[in-house]
Amino acid sequence: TLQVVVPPLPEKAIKGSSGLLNKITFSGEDSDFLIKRQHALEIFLVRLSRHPVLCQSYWFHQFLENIGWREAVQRTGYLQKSDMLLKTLSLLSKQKGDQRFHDVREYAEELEAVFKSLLEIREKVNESVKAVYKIHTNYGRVFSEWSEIEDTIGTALQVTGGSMDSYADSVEMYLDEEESRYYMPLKEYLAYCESLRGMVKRHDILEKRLERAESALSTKSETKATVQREGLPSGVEQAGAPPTGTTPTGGGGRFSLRAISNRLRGVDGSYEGRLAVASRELLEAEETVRITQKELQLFTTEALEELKRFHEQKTADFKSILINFIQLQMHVHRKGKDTWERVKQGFSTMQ
Amino acid sequence: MSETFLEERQRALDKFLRRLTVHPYFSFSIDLKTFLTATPEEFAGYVQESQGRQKLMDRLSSSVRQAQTSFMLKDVDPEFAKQLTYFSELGDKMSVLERIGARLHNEREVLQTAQDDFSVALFHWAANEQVMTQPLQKLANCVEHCSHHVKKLNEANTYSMMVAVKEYQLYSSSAVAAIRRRDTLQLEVERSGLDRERKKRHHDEATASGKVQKVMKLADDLEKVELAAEKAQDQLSRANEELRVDVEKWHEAKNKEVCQFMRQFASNHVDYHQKCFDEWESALKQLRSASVSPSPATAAAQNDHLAALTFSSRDSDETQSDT
Repeated sequence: TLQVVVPPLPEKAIKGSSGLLNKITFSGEDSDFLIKRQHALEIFLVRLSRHPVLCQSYWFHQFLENIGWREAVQRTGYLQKSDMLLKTLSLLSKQKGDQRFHDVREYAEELEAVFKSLLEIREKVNESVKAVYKIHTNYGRVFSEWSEIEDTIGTALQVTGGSMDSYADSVEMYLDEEESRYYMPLKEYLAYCESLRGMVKRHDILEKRLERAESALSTKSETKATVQREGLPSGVEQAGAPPTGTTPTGGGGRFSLRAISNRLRGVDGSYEGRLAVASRELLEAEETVRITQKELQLFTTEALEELKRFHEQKTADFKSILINFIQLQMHVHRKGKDTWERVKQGFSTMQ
Repeated sequence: MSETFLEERQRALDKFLRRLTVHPYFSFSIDLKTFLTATPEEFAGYVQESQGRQKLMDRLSSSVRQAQTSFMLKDVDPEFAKQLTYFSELGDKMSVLERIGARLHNEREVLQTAQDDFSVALFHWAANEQVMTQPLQKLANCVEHCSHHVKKLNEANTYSMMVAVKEYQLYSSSAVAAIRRRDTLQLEVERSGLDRERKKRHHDEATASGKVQKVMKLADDLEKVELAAEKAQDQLSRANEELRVDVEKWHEAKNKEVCQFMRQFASNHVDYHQKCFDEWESALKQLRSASVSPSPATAAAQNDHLAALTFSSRDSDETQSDT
């Protein structure tokens, strides 16, 4: 399997909304959310299609072309596999580990914390901004009313009133834009953190498997050594010599319950038999270790490459996000300045 | 008290004095001349002397307060009634402007705090990245500066707009009081007119009935009342004239001053927006020049979506008008 940082799916429902996972209601708020989710899903598809590995994924093509893709996926039994994966996760030890992947996990966790706070705090900033702009509606009203009792400065005051109203209204468009230029992209990358962590987990699982294979190897190796020791000629004549915790010496004339039960079960309790088994198992264990090592190496190589690709994508995306964000702020301030210039002009064309 | 507040108060007091000296009525005031020319000790003594007169002034002004005479007038003078309405409404507008200004001031303080927090969050982001560190730091600084500009806007408004609004609020009150005093004089005229009519009637009745003693006394009274009525009428005419001129001048000055402080008020905001715009622009420049090679596999997916936006970065074409 190839290692990828999977693009995240957008949320199905947001906290504080009606909590329905199936957003099929059509009240004003929800249809807003539906539109946003639609956009986010579009972006998800674009990300898949631009990913050098994922765009070639069999299942991606199935999704795009086959209407019965869902059933096809279910038939693979992937659900059971992922359950097993989850169980394995709980067995993770923290003994050794590739520092590079620890770094990835740390980065992902840090990024998650950073982005969470960026989203929360920006929310507060925009609440304030909205309040400030909205208060100008009151200015609009007062200046308009004032203009009615004035002669000379009446026009200028009326222009002011109108300008204040339009200033207050401009904040709506700004908040909409913030949503698509700031909140949505940041939310996407926040979800990416989970994907990153997923990759690190998979690495940890492989490491764990290797660990177990290695410890199994050393156990098998010990077993064989023990069998070999017991098979030495001097050992046979020692009557009553305590065994080293493994099967007692068979062969010869000594009575042994185990020897009898082995013969009954068809197990070759003879020295040659046991040695053969031990050797075979040792070889198998060595093979397992070799295979697992190779798997881990392959995983690591591919994962690190994918991570490199991800970081490049992320950096370019961040740059885009920030450019769009800044352009919005510039637009807002230019508009604001123009509005107030109009007010200023109104009072300058006097006397 | 900050430096600026004292300076502003000085400026406001200076303006106040100037107004008095060019005022058609107050410029002749002995009190003002004394204030301007005497030493502090001399002036203190002068104030002591005039305490006696002060008491009279208090009595008069209190009677005005009690009277609320305007609506008791028989023939409401339309010109001054109109002015009264104008000044009370203006006073109201000023109060509302003051309240709105206070609300904005507070809300902007909240905004400052939020922006400072945002700046800190951006610094954290910068610290977590490697390639994007500098542009992000620049962005964080930019936000910090914008927060500072909000603070400056608040200060600028406090010392210009808010001061002016307060001033005109007080001005409106004193204008209303002046008109009411004039109304008192008119009431006096009406009252003394009624008095005269009554006395004349009595006099005529007495003459008709031939009570000579009474006639003589009443003739005396009548004369006194006639004089009083004339005096009241004189006072009223003079007051009307003075007030008319005063109000006219006041409106001229007001128009000029309103233009001035509104221009200042608008300028404060223009400057604020310009400064913020400049901040963001410099952040954008640095970001653009940051050596980040866009990889072909990236989702400038955002950009595809954002292509639907209705404005461009240059935006010289303000196709959306704000009418």
